[in-house]
Amino acid sequence: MDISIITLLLFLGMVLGLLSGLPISFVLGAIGVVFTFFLWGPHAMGIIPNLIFGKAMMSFGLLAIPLFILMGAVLQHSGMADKLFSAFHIWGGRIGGGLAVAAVVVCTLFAAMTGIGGAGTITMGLIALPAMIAKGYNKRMALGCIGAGGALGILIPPSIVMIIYGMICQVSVGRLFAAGIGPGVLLALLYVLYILVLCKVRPEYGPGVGADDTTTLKEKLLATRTVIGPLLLILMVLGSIFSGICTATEGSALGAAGSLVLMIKSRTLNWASFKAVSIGTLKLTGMVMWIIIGAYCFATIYVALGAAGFIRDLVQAMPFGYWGVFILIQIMFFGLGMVLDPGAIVMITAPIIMPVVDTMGYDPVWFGVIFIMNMQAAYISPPFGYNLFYLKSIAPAGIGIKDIYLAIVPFVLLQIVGLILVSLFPQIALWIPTLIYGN
Amino acid sequence: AEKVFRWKYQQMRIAAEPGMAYYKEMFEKTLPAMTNGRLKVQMFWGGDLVKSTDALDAVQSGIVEMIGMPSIYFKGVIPEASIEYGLPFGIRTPYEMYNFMYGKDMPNMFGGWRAIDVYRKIYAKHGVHYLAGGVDCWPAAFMFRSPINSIGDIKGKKVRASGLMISWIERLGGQGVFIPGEEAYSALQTGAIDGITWGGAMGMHSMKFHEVAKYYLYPSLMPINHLTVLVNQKAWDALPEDLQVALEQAVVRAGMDITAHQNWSGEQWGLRQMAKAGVTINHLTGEDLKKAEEVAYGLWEEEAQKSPEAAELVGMMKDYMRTMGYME
Amino acid sequence: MRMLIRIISKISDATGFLLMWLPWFLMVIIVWEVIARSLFNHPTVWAHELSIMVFAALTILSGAYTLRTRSHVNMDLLYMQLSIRKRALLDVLTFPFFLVFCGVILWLGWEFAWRSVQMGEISQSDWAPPIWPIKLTIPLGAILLLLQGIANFLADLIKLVTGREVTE
Ligand code: NA
Ligand code: NA
Repeated sequence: MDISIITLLLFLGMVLGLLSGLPISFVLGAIGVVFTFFLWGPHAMGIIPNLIFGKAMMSFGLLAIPLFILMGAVLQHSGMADKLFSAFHIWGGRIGGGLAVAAVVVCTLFAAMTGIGGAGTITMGLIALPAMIAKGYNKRMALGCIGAGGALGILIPPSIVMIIYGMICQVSVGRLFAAGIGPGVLLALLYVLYILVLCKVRPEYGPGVGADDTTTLKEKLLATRTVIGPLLLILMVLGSIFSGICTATEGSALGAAGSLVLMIKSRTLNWASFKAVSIGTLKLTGMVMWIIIGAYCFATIYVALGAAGFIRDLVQAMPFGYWGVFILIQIMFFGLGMVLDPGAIVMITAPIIMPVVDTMGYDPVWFGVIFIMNMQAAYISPPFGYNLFYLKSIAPAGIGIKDIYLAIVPFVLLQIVGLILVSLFPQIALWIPTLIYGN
Repeated sequence: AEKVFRWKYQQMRIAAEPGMAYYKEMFEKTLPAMTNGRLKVQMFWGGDLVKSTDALDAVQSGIVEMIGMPSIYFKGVIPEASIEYGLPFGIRTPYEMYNFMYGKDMPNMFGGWRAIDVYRKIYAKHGVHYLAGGVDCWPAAFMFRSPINSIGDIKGKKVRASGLMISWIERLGGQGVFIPGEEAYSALQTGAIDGITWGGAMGMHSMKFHEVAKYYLYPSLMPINHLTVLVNQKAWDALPEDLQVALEQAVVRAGMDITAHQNWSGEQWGLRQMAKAGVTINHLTGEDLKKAEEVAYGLWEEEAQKSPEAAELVGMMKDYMRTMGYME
Repeated sequence: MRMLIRIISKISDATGFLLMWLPWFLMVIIVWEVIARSLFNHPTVWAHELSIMVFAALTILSGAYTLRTRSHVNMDLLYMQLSIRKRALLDVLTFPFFLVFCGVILWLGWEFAWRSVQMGEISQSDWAPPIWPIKLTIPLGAILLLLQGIANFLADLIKLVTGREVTE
């Protein structure tokens, strides 16, 4: 069967499956199984357990997921989240959207601690989302800034997707890491700016705190004391990773342990809270890991049936010209990103795109960062975006996936603005790596 | 019409590596042309279908018809795989490796070793056909963050290594660790590791290790590594004899081409490029070299205990090395 | 039928109670490794691999409890608009897809693990622990998931008939 028809059938099957309300993991997995059976052959069915074992279960990189979930859950049940956000409240003063800005800032810090796109969203979703909703924030504003903020995790180093890209495309991972910092900060600033402007114009989106008129500097400082613990924790995780003492995954374990210490110190640790943390971590881990299992089943069969050649032909059919090809490749990435996971997209496209990059004379580091920025949009662009599903799973009752889809749209647009800026001004990305490594 | 065989071949390498376009073309264009379109082998790159660690199971159970991996990935199932992957201070050039594997017809000059027959025997016990090995060869070497002028300099060093090189490093007082290739650059950069073994100068250069490790230990501490190409037994048996011959020829031809262009000429090129980037080449000589060899030969003896076939292989290797004058 | 649903739910709850310790266990292993390495300059040979094996078991075994608590995320764009009975009907209709996926993991996962058992497969690392016990968690995880899936399917059938949520 022709690969273009297979592609159509695969994605048609996925859309129908998703609409049916069957969990995403099982939709992707079942499509993988059915297509393997009919288009590859019964003899190849053994690939399903083989890839589940090799790609999803035995992966040291993915091991950071349960640990960062655990860290977030402990912080949530330690009451630390509320204290952290009341502190931000007090300092945020009357500024509308102060909490959303704080969430973006903390997400940015998280991005600098984790290599994946979900950790910031999961942790801030557990901590900042209830706080913002309790303070009367517009729920779309609250959901959007957390979803987009978390996606910074794959752009700001360390980043697992960057490592995969660097390996496959033979680009220095060190340079890629350094090149992610500028665009990451740029996007964070864009989000903050958007939140502040929107809340100035439409104060009901993020009501400011009125109470701080009466709070004294002493009270502010006292409130800030509660922030010291979490900040030390973040510094410990960040510091141990950047100083090279440990890997990102190991940092996630330190973070979980540190947060447990904070929980013990705040005297909130008891059997009930311990069980709530543990069970919550288990459920989220199960949900995330089974989506990854499903995504691998889906992506692997697509690759086996000839995705690489199909995409190469698509690229070759593009009109010529430096920016023409560039824009079309970006649109293709974005389209794939709407429905596939970034790891799978790197796997499928990078080996085919790289010769094009060579021929067209794009700077491979710059192109890599643009690719990652695009994949970052993939994390939050409907219908298939990990961060959207994470948000859905931790959002309070009454928030549907539709709310989340609508909430994320302005932030996807901001990401596109950021992507255009870095495309037009490559120095935003290339400045820091040039500073560190020279030309 | 004649039956058309459509196979899937899971490779360990990635498409962007130099020479891979040619390698792929051998299976997807040349081979069909050679066989009148009756054998079509579709190439998949590292991790495309299954992870390298699970590739042996995939070819044994027939998920894919063919895999091409360094044998170290089979070590957990096939005890002799460590020897195949490389005995420290073993074979030193790709052409000697070819000679050791296939050197049948010149018994008077070159001993008449034919290691491939032993490997076929070993792998047949595990239900797979050993199609080819010893053709897609690459030299491997060490790079360090600090100069290694004597054997004592290895003491206390944390080195990313694989296979028996881990044991070798540890016998010399270093510490062998296995970390995935994608983490190696930053581990070297931050000093989490002090050195690395990797596939030769060209490979080191493409991984940009010379940016973070300035000392190259050369030559000949590491054995020549090679790719092992395995075929599912049922798929192999179902293949008509003329296609079996064509497939083996294609694998040998493609592998030797990769060796010639990338892994051997590329080695010389990579060394020059790194020298330009300020990399110093260190040599172990005299007593240090002797000590290093003794430690390695001790490992050979231990490996030989693992099975009769292991003993046979190590014996062959010793015989070969003595004939070539590398070993006393 | 309700009895069966209750028994299966109890089994899933029990796996949940056992599995909830694994993230903590992971944390302890890795923190131990970091301390051993950075403070005592003496890394373990086992921590890296043991942590991956614990994570592997956690990953595959967590499916059932996650299903039991209905925490597998779905796209509820249209789904949430439907009545209980229509939702139950959809769930009954999509059950075969779940069954196929789960069944393949169970059946072929068993063959995958059994090959490993027969070969006495050990890890490729220097520590070289047996790898087959972890591979056995694949069919085990699939059995648990399948059981819970059947319980949910039965509950959906009851909902389809009665038009009411099933209480335990
Ligand atoms: Na990051
Ligand atoms: Na998306």
